[in-house]
Amino acid sequence: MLELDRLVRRFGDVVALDHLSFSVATGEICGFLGPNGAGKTTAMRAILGVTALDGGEIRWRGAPVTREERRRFGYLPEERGLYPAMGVLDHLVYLGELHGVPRQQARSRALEWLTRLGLDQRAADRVEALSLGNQQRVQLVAALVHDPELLVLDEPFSGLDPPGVAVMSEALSDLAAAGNTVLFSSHQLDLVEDVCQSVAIVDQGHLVAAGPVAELRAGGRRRLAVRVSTDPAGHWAEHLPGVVLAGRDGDVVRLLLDDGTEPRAVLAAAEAAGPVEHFAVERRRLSEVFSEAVGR
Amino acid sequence: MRRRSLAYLVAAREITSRTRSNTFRVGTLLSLLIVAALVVIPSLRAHHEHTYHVGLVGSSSPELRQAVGATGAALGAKVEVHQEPDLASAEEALRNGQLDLVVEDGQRLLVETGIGPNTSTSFTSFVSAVSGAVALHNGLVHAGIAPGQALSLAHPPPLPVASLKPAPRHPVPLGTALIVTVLLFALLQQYGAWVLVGVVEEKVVRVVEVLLAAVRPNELLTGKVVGIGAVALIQAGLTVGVALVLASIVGSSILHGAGPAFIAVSAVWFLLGYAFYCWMFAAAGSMVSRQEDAQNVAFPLLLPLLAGYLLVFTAFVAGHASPAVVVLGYVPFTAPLLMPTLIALGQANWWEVVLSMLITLGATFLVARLAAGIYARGVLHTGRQLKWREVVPALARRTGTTMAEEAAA
Repeated sequence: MLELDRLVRRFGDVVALDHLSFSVATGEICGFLGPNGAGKTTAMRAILGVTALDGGEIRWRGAPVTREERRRFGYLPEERGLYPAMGVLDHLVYLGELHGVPRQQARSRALEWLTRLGLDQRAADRVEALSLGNQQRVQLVAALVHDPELLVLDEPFSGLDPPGVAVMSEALSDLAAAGNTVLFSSHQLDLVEDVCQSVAIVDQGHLVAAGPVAELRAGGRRRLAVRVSTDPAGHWAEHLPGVVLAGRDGDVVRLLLDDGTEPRAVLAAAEAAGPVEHFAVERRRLSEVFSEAVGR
Repeated sequence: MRRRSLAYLVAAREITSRTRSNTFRVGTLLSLLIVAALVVIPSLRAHHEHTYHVGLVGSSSPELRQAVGATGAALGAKVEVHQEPDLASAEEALRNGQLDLVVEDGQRLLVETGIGPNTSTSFTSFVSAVSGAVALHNGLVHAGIAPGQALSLAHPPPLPVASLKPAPRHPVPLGTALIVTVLLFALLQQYGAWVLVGVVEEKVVRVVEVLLAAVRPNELLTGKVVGIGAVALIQAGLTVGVALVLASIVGSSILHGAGPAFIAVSAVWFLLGYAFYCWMFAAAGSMVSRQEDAQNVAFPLLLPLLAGYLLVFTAFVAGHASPAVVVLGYVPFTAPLLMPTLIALGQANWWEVVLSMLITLGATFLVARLAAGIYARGVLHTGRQLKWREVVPALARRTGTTMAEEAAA
């Protein structure tokens, strides 16, 4: 388990991390969310030891993380970068060796990942000869080449085309299934909802929400999606007690129910208004959880 | 052990990628060509005596022939004297280039193209020397001195030269000292720039954060300067090696006297100079995020090198080092250039050289520690150029800044 315990980091007068605490279970994919400037990158850098902390502690498997353990972590920084003039495979082998993997092993792992990401034919090319999307894939392999126990990825989906997103999602799921722990930041909330088991949402350097995605989505006011064929605008629901008309999606109206209001009563009211073609209890979208947590 | 091996991996990458690059290959080839030219051309010029062909027309005594023939020695040239049957054939030979100069009846000189009043070449010097020699010969004969005696009067044997101080026991040829000093300056500047550009490049292409996830800043810095230093040694060693081989083949004067010993000591000074400056260039590189800012931040580091370079030349022109140069020979910023100069001028004893080396070594240790602190604070910074107070460890603590990287959150 990865634990961030009351992390504090200041840059002059700016407080980037303000007693930030959350944890990620082993073998779990955790989405790290927050608006720009919330402290995500600083927290990720701190996990890798790239930035120093002014307070707090990072623990891995129950003990303060050591330099040796950090070498076995994989990291995809927000600011991508590789040596442009180096060969793709040479570069990956070099980074693997820096992470403590013997040369031959690093070579075979790099080739394995390049093949999986469809780049095995480009192994001998210079990095600069690749498209930006392919360079991003190489960068991901750079984070994976030493078979890391913990993978920390800062905006891994940024700049990827839909096939790239699919390959990346699948790779992360496979890594987690194999027992690796993944923490990644993203602003693509629908993607996070699909890929992650849990999320941690930060704002202004501290945690504002965290937990399993399913639990977070299940929380809050209950939601209904209803279509009454004779009243697609949903006028029938406007004056129902304990019901708020949250919005319309075509001829389906979305309703938020107060705690004391039963869906059964709403169904009865809908049927009284006309034929009910669609009636469903819905969960919150992660984007709504996010907006509620950060207050905007 | 692990740290050493990580720095070793970084150094090995530097060596491999740099020696494979076209920039390195072309640069090395150019260095070799320049050094070869510096060594070979002066030797060829020294070995190749120019021969002037002088034609005599009309009456001429053997003594006049000898007087004309003797003018070449003072000019480092050879003179061949030919007797021409008449003026017409002599003029024809002048036009054909078979003759350079004609002496007519010991009274008049004839050249193919007129010599202007402000013309000054080795040929005009030769014409002037022949003119003087013929006129002196004529004057002495006219004064009633026998032609044979006139010749010996015009070209007396040299007088012995005594000196108040003995000649230096192992003088370093001036040419050797100059070539070595120019090389020292050029190489220190070039390899310093390699370190500077290498550090900035890692920031520009954003690879440094990937590296720092596995390597400590001081390991990365050490590997970098050692790797670049090794490539520098390869290039400099190749250059000097080729120069020495060529020098021995063409019999260059750079190997005369104490030349080889001087070159060896200068090689040590090159290593010391690189070791001292490379850390500072690396620290300077970590303070900027764009290649175009690199020269600005490194300029203060080039000033002492430039100053030392200029002082070297003033010392060589004067033939001795001023007290200021002697003092600066012990200051690590200028010692790598000035101490070899003091050695070449015979103004440094062995223990003074060793003392200066030890001072530079000690200063290098301190500079390396300071540079590692600056590098660690600056290397992740992006955006504007950092200020010294933000990166120098002691100053940074005083202002309460723990790390000068931006809050990229």
